[in-house]
Amino acid sequence: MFKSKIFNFVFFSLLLVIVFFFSLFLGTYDFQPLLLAKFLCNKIIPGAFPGNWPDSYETVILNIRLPRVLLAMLVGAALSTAGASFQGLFKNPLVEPYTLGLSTGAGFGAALALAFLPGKLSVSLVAFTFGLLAAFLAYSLARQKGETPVVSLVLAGVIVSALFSALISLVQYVVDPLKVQGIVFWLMGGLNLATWKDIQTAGPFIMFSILLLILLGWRLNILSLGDAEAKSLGLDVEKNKGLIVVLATLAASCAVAVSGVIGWIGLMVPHIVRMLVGPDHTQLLPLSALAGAAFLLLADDMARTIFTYEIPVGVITTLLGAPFFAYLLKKAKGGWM
Amino acid sequence: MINVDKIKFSYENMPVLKGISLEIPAGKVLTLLGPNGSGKTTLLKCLNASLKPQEGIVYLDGQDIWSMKKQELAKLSATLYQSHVAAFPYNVEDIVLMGRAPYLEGLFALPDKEDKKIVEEVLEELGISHFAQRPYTHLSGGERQLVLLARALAQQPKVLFLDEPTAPLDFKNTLGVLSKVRELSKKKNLVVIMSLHDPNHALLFSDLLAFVKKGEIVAFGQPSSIVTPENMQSVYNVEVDVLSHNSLPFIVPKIR
Repeated sequence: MFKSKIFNFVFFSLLLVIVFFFSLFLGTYDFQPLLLAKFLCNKIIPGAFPGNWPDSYETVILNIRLPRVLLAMLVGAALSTAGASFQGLFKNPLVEPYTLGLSTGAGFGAALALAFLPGKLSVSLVAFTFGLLAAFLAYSLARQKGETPVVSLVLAGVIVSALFSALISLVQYVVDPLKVQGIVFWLMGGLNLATWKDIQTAGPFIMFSILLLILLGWRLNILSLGDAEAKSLGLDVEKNKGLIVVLATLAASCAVAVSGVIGWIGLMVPHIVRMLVGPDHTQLLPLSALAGAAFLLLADDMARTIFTYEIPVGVITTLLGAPFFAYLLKKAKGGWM
Repeated sequence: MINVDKIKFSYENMPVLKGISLEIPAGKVLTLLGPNGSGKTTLLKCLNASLKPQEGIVYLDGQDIWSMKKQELAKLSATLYQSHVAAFPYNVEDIVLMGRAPYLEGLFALPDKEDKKIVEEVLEELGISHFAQRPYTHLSGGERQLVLLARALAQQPKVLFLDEPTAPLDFKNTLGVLSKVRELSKKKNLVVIMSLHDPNHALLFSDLLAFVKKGEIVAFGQPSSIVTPENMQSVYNVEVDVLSHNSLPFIVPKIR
């Protein structure tokens, strides 16, 4: 079924469009589909589609649902593309965007900001900074004699993660118990506080890094054969590897900064897409971006509608991810695909 | 074609190559024979610029390999490692296409129709067009080596390095790969430098032979003239008889 590149691209794009509109309509406030379509078209081309809609369309759609839906798409695309890139680079389908300790670093940053700094923007900013710092720390820890072997990278990630999770515990221990709740909630990951501001600040960086990663897809194919092979094909392995790590880390840190730690999606989505269309990264990366956007949207729809109150979307993705991972482990018996 | 001038290499303070010189003209197959740990692999790594010798220079086509860009070097020489397992099930065609990487200029360049045509030709040449669409990970060891050979050819090199290319192969595939390599060397005027374990394979498939022992070349020349009981005794410490069959020499170890 997924033999033609064009078909694949159209299929995943359509999937995303359908999920997008479905998510816009979904919620306690009901819309008339046709009127809503008109309203949206009118927003894109002002005055082209006049109609009568209540003011609530403006407030609910424009200020609440649309930013949340767009942010879910951005974050889902960022985590999935970064995950696919890391998996290719590390020659291992089981790594994820957080392998370098990025999420615990960002978590510590967020905890610091929530505990000691005022304002929401500073939380994103500090989380972003510490996410990058953690990844950079792991990368330089793994680097020896101008080379960064994959095993060292993974181990360095474990070390950095351990360090920052101890620091998170420390912050939680010393801070006012009321604030601990906020930290815990942030660590679970959620999109309920999405604003246009988040999209404006994180969006451009995420789009930029996803685009460049997609363009580097063919080189990633070569890198995924291993260092010695890539070198013998004339690639400047360290330069290319560094570039891909930086871009994937940038995308994932932006995502973490605006949404908290949303786990598993960066592992699951590329895996599913690879099963469907094969491992070629020139296809895998753009399709993972589309599928990741759709996947996180659906997960977020579940998070906000299953119960009368919201549950963190990170809990949903983990609840879906763990059994999926268990299934893979049993099915693959060590030989991945 | 390839000219090796007194290279020395040591890991930490352990000398592995102690001044090796070689000169191989185009179209010749050189086999390196020697016991494990004699420095064959290290020598190959110095020749393909994976390792930088502390002393001495390797010239390829008249140029010092360390003065060249890696990308330029990959147009001149290709390497086949002992065995390679890909983590992802790329198609055979995609794997071979990666051999075109040194010819792509710019970070975002993609292979074009011309590159794909070259890949088709190479697959045809090696007689493996019929599994162009199969996943590389599902191939047998022998098929996989042929695919990697195809990728090396897609680089259109003048020199081919092979590090124990037949180690994971069975009897038939070993002969298949080695005779293919020899045939290509003649047809494309390639220098082939490979390390092998079996002296009989060296006798069958190479034009030149070098015995490597403790980081030095102790004998060099035409295989039939230097695979002697004396050399086998001094390099491997194994007693052999040299027999002749259809005017080709082959050796039989004396087992007591």
